Amino acid sequence: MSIIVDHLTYIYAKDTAYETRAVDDVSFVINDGEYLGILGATGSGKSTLIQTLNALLIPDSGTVYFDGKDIFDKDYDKKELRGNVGLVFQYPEHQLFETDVFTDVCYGPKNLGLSQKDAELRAYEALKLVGFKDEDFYQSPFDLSGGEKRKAAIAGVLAMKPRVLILDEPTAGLDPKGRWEILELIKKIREETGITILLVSHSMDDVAENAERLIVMYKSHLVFDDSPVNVFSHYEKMKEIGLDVPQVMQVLLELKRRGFPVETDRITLNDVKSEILRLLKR
Amino acid sequence: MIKDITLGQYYPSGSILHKLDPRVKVMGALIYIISLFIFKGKLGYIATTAFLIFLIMISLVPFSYMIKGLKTIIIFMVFTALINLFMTPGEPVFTIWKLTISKEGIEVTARMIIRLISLILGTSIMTFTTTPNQLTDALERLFRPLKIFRFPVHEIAMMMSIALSFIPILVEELDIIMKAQKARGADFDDKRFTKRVKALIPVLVPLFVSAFRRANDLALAMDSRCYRGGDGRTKMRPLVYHKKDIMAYLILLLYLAIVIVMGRL
Ligand SMILES: Nc1ncnc2c1ncn2[C@@H]1O[C@H](COP(=O)(O)OP(=O)(O)O)[C@@H](O)[C@H]1O
Ligand SMILES: [Mg+2]
Repeated sequence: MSIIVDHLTYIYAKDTAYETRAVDDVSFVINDGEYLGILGATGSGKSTLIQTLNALLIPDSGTVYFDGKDIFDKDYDKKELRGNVGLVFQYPEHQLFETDVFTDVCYGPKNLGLSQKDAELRAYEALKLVGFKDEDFYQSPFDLSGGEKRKAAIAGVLAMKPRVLILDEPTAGLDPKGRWEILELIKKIREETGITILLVSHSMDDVAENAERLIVMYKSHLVFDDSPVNVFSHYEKMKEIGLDVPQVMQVLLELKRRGFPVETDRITLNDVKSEILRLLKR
Repeated sequence: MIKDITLGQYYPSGSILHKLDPRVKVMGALIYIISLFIFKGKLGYIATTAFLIFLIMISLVPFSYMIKGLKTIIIFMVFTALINLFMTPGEPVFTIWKLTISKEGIEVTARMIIRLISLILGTSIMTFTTTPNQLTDALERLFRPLKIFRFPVHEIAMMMSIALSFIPILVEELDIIMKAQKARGADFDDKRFTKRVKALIPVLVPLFVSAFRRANDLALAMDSRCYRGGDGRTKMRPLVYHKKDIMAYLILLLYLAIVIVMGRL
């Protein structure tokens, strides 16, 4: 078991008029190598939750164990932790700062104490992994397109060789093509490196197609921790908490409502397609 | 946490003071400051302190929250107090080494501390109950007569309110950028000075880029809504005095009169 979140509570601006309980008594486990989705409406506490996983935020109560050790212990090496648990913030392209992409990607590994040569090696690997061509390495990050910038920023975290990669709404603000590219990229990263993926999203379709397990947040609480099919079978509850079910599943639900004998526990495009074809063949 | 650097200290408790016209509160703060310096006798202290307690009570801002603002100037206060204590000549009370504390010294120091605390708390009541934007509005309106001398009152007020609305946005952005670079192993707590300065570059570059981007967007948005300065511009929520504001002015004048009278006794 890789990460255990144990009764975690985080409060912003404690003891002031603006006090907000952003994460309230949340517990769950992240297993090695799995692709976990975190769903929740805006303001449900997703970003706050993941920022505690690499000790950027210190919880007010509860704790997080990484490989069996409490990461909030005083002598736990936070820098090493942040190398192991890579966190890609929302709109990560806003954090690029170097004059060229390659140097920017070197920033992470160098902070981990690697030599210039090793850092460059890792930067090279990471940029290749996200699909940068050699001739684009020395472009200014500010000249890249939106999707490319984001890939460069993801490479900046990958270059630290994390064992867990957390991405906070990595498709936010991208066009359909850019969105698809990022989701494919995450799949590819997982296949090639085998790292654990935590995808934070408020898109049902994104997580339905990719995640093996889903955590659903609602008003700072964890409401579901189950397989995507099981989570989406509670479609009424999902609507109630400001979420929905994947669009393709809505087609099946509507067919069922009109009296067609379909199974509705299909959530990916391919599965729904087969189900509809099966119905037509009968 | 960086979030704690909030500008002003607005505390939304929804009291009667919050609902007053901001101009009343600016003038009130001014009158209170003046009142602190126009009396001599002990009775004056009673009047100003009583009024302060009255204001604190009706502001509904927790007292513990209020005295937080005093902490920042405590060093300054101790320093001035010590100077006053030792430097005031008069009838000696006791002597430490070559330094003599006189009876007059103690008295002067006590008076000074009371005045200073009253001054700070009195003005804080204004900032606790008025948002920075309301304050800008009030100042713009109060300084409007200066327009006769071609003083750009509106433009300065506009710049002030833009700056005020940008500060919390930039503070939040700074917080996110710092966390994002920390996630990439940045270390802002290094003891060595050169390291600390170097660690700022990955934070300042994105912050400036974003500030320029926002400024550009804002300029475009203002331009596309035909903003061209203050002449002939009306307000969505013009400041209008209501009955309670007039009442407040009357109370303030009454208070000032009382302090003047009691100060003579
Ligand atoms: N830096 C902050 N200071 C104060 N409150 C915050 C801060 N960041 C988030 N919040 C509040 O915490 C709650 C959860 O926010 P967040 O974790 O960003 O949710 P999500 O990522 O699911 O949209 C929201 O109510 C939000 O307003
Ligand atoms: Mg978020």
